[in-house]
Amino acid sequence: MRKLSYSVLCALLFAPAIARAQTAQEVVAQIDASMNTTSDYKAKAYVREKRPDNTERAVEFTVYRSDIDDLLFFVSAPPSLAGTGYLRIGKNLWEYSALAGQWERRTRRADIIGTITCESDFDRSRMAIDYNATEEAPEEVNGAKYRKFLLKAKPGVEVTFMSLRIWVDSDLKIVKREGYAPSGKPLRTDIIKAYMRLKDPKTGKSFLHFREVFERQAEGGTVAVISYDAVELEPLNKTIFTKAWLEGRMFR
Amino acid sequence: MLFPLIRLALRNMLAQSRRLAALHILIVTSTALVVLLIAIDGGVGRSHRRAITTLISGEVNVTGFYKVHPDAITPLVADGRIIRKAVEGTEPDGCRWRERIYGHSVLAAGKRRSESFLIGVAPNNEAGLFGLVKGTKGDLSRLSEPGTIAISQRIADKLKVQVGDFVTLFASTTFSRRNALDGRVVAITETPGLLGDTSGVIASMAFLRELYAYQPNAVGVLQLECASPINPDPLAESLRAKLKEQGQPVLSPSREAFADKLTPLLREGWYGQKLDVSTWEDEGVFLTFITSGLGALTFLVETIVLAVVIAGIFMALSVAVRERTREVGTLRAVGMQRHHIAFMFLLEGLLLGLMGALGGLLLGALACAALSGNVALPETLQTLLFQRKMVLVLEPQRVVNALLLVSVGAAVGALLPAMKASRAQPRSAMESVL
Repeated sequence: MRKLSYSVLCALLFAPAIARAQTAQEVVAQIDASMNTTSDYKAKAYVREKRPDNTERAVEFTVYRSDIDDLLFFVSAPPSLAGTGYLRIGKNLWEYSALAGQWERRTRRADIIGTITCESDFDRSRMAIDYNATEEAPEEVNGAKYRKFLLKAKPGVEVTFMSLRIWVDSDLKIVKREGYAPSGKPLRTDIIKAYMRLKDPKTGKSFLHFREVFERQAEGGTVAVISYDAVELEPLNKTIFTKAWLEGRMFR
Repeated sequence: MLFPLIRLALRNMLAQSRRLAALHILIVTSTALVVLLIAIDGGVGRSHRRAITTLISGEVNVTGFYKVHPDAITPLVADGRIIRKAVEGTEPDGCRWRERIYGHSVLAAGKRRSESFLIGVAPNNEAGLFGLVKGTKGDLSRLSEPGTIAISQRIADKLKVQVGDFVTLFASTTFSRRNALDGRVVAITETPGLLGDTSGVIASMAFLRELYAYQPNAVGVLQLECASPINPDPLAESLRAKLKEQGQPVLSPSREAFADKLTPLLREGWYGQKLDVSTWEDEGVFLTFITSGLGALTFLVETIVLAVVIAGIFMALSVAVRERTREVGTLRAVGMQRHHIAFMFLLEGLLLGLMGALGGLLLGALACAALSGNVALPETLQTLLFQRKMVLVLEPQRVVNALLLVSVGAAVGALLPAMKASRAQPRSAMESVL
C-alpha cells in the first residue's frame, strides 16, 4: 500500500515535467536566450583567414549593434581597407567603400570584407525566429555526447544558410554548426572554440558570447578564425547607425 | 522535231552510259555538296533569325533611351503603358507585343563570381523563349514566383549552384549606385549557341525592376513577336510616324544594335526620353558576318561546281563528237539540219546535267534528312551556328536555283562541242568508212 502511495505521489510530482519535455524549437529558443543581450553592443572582431593557396590576411573591425538591431561594422585594419564599413538598417545592408567614397547595397547572404564570414555571424542569435528546428539523433565524439538539431529557414526569411545543423553540448552551448545551401550542399562549417560569459547591464543576467570561432568553407577550403575582444554593452550614440557617421570616419 | 531529238539524245546517252558514269557521279556529288551547303546556310539563317527574334529582339522593337541628365543613359521606357497603348493595334495578324527589360550583372555564390546579361520577362507570356532555352533542370514556369531566376548551365557550372540555391546579383542602377539582390535558382537552362550568353540569367521583370531600382511601370523594350517571319521595315517606318504623331521624340532609323547606339547618344546634350524603333536585322547586325560568311562559302562552292560541270560536259561531249563523226555525217546525209545536230548535242549535255543535278538533289536531300537534328555540334560550332544540333533547311527556291545552275552549266559546257558537231559535212559519214 505504501509502495503504491509513493508511486502515485511520484507520478503526480513528475507528470507535468514529463508532459512539458522541451521541443526542439524551445531548446533552440533557450540557446538564443542564453546568447543574447537586450542592451546596445560594441566589440572588436579580428578575422584571420587562410586560403588554399596559402595566402593569409587579417582584418580588424568594430561591430556596433543597437538594441533595435541596427548593425554597423567599421574596418580599422589593414590600412588598405581602413574606413570600409557595413551598415544594416532594417532589412537593408549597405557596404561603404572608403577608397571610392561610395555606398553599395548588399544582400545579407553575401560574404563581407572579402572573407568567408557574413553579416549574420556578428548578429544577435535569432535561430528560433528564423528557423524551424527538429532534433536529430545525438552524436558521440570522444566520449562526449552532443545533441544535434537541424534548422530549416522559415518561408520568406532572409538568412545566410537556408538550413543549419548545430551540435549542442549538455550546457546547451553550440560547439559546432554547419550551414547548407537549399540544394543541401554544405557551405561552411564552424567550430566554436571558446566562449566568454558576460553580464547584460540592462537585465543584470549573464549571457554567453563567442570568444573564438573557427570557420571552414566547404568548397575551396578557405579557413578563418574569428576572435572577439573588448565587448562593451554601454548605450551607444544612435548617430553611429547612419551613413554620415561612417563617411565621416575617413576624415579622422 | 523536239521529241525525236530528245529520244535520240537519250538513246545516245544510254549507249555511252559506261563512259559517262564517272562524269555523272561527279555531277551528282557536286550537286549534292551544293544542296548540303544550301541546307546548312538555310538552317543557320533560320536559327540565326529565331535566336535573335527570341532572345535579343522582336521582329520590330520600340526601345527607350532615358537620360536622367545629359551624362547618363539607360535603355528604358519610363512608362511602358503609354507606349504600349500607342503601338497596340499596329501588329500584323499572328503577331503580338511583349515587354522585356535587359540588363547586365555580376553573379556571386560564395566566393565564386560570374557575369552575364539578364533578360527580364513576363514569365506567363514567353512560350517562345522557354521553347528555345529549355530548362534542363527545374521548372521555368516558377519564374513567376517572386525572387526567382533561371541561369544557364554554363553559369551554374561556374558558380557550382543547383536548383534551389541562391545566387547574389550585383548591378549598377540608373544613378550609378551599386545594388544587390538574391535570386533563388528555379531552373537551369541549356545554352542556345552564340546568343546563349545573352540569356545567361532569365528573371521576371519585377526582379529586374527591383535590382535596377526602376519604377513599377518601367520596361526596357516592347518587342513584336510573330508566329512567322514578316517584312519588318514598312511596319517600323509606320510605327515611327505614329509615335511622332503622338508627340513622342523618336530617333532616326540606323542599322545598329541598341547597345551600339548608347555611346553616341551619351555624347548628345539632351536629357529625358527618346524612343527608338528598330528591326531584328538592326539588332542582329553584329552577327551578319556569320550568315554572310556562309553565303560567300556557298557561292564559292557553287562557282567551283559550275566550273566542274562545264569542264566535264565539254570534255565528254568533245570526245563524243569526235567518236560519232560518222553518225553525225550520216544524220547530215539523210537531211538533218545543222541546227538540229547542234540542238541534239546541246540536249545531250543538258540532259546529262539535269539528270546529274536531280540525282545530286536526291542524294543531298537524303543526306539532309539523315543529318538534320541528329548531329550534335561541338561547342565552338554551336556558338557560330546558333544550333546545338545541326539543323538543315532546304528552301525550294534555292534548290530550284541549284538545279538551274547545274543545267545551265551543262548547256554552256555542251555549246562548243555541239557547234563543232553541227559543222560536220555529210561526206564525213563516208570518210570514216573509207
